[in-house]
Amino acid sequence: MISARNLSYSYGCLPALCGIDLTADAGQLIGLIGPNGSGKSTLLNCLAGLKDGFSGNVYLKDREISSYRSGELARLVAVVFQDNHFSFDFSSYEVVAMGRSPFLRPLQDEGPDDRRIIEEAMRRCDCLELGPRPVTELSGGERQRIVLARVLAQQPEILLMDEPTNHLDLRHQRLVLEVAGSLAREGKLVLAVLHDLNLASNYCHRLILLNQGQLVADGRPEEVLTGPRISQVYQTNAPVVRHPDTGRPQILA
Amino acid sequence: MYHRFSWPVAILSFLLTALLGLSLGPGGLDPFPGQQIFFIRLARVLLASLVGSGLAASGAALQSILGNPLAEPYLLGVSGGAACGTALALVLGISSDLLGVFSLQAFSFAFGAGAIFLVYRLARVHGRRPAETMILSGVVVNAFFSGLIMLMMSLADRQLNEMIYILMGSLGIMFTRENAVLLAIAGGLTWGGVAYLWGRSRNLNLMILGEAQARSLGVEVENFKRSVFFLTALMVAALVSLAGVIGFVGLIVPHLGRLLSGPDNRRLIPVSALLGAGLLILSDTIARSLGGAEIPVGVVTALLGVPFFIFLLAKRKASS
Repeated sequence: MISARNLSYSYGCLPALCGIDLTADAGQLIGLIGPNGSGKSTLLNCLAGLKDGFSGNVYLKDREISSYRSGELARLVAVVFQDNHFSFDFSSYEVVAMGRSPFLRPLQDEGPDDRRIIEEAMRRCDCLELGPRPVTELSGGERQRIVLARVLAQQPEILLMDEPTNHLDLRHQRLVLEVAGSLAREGKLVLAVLHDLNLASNYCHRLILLNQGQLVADGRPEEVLTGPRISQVYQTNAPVVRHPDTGRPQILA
Repeated sequence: MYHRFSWPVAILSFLLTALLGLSLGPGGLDPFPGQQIFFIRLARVLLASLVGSGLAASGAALQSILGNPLAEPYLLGVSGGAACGTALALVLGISSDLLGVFSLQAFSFAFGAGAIFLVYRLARVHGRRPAETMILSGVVVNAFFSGLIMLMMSLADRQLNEMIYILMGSLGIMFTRENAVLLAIAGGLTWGGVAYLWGRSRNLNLMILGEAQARSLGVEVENFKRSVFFLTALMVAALVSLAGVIGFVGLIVPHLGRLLSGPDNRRLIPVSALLGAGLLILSDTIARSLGGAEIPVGVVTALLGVPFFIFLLAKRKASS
């Protein structure tokens, strides 16, 4: 569904990604992990078609990403960004409804089908009751649920998320990743940049580890998160144990 | 919901102020002044609604596209350029001989349009034009033209009065056969521009989420920004060349509009346009019917606008 061939990107003369090769198919929840500045967000933005001027190739559904028109891309790929701030007090419902924009003509209002999709998305993210409240008055966790509902209303085949669990408490971290997991089970591709290795290990089918712009490891959590590799990439020694329920590797700080 | 009443309130306020503007004169209430005076008043009401709606709608659009509630149409440096053109034409005495009656306005418009290109050249960073550098170069260009205006004011003697009057804003431009073309161009540009902004109001909403998010929701961000900046700049150049720098309409009216219709640009653009037209008709009516000499309308809008602006700032401080 997504593939990258020899993908490189640099900020001025500072290289951020060096020759990344990867393929990701539908029905997977994939975690993109790595230390700060390892190129995770840059890679995600290249795959979302939001960065111009990379070298190499990115294909979405076997088609070069640059050949997509922006409206067409928006009906295929949705993105959850790291920070969401709102300058004006839209109601939460209006923000979720913006997810329907790629499907509507300029002055067309949302129809009954759109409203059903919007409400279903809000129900799924446990935020239906927030609808009438101004989005500027929501707490961080509430706002992230609204943002997640917005991308669900976009009904994408590919969902890209940049640290969607940032600043969230435990319950909301799990809610976000459970929704992501259920999308993957429905046959979508979900790729999430995650900072929390333990969450990534527990919820993802596959982990991709980046370090200094290079792909260091790619595989099931137990293949990627090994003690020697953690200490090499993160340059710190941390014990790796098994999760009592899932058996996945967990790293103790 | 307040949204349901936003249309009727906006339309009603426009109609009421228009009626007031048509029936008030220097001597107080005077609804049947005779044909000639009636047409003079009608012309002023039309010009006020043109300028008011253009400034308010472009202010609302720029606030959305820059994601900044303090943005306004004069931020982009165009007003400084157009005003400088007016001042230069007055100092050089061009108005009377070179291009006929409307040369003053044409000169001013040309300077405003020149300022757009200057701002646009300055704002270019690595092939893109981030919102911050657009604002910064607009401010810089405005400051430069203000300096030039000050210079000309200090050099001018008998033109000084006329210069002050035009720079502070006035809707007293005479409708004649010669400037009818210019007025038609300004009218078409402004109301065509308002219609375009309304037509693209969904994209304006998405821009409030930020440029990357708007792009991920299907907006061609760089193209869209370029269209909106150029269009609003052309509108402002035309309006300033006709009526001078009338402050605060482009800044306060969108905020009034949001109180009435909420921040959704699909309602906000037309509601702001109607409210802006109404506010400027009201201000102009006050300006020409209070006392003997006409007060520059920019003074009235500023005196109405500053207290409201302070109120908004206080509210922002309280909420953050």
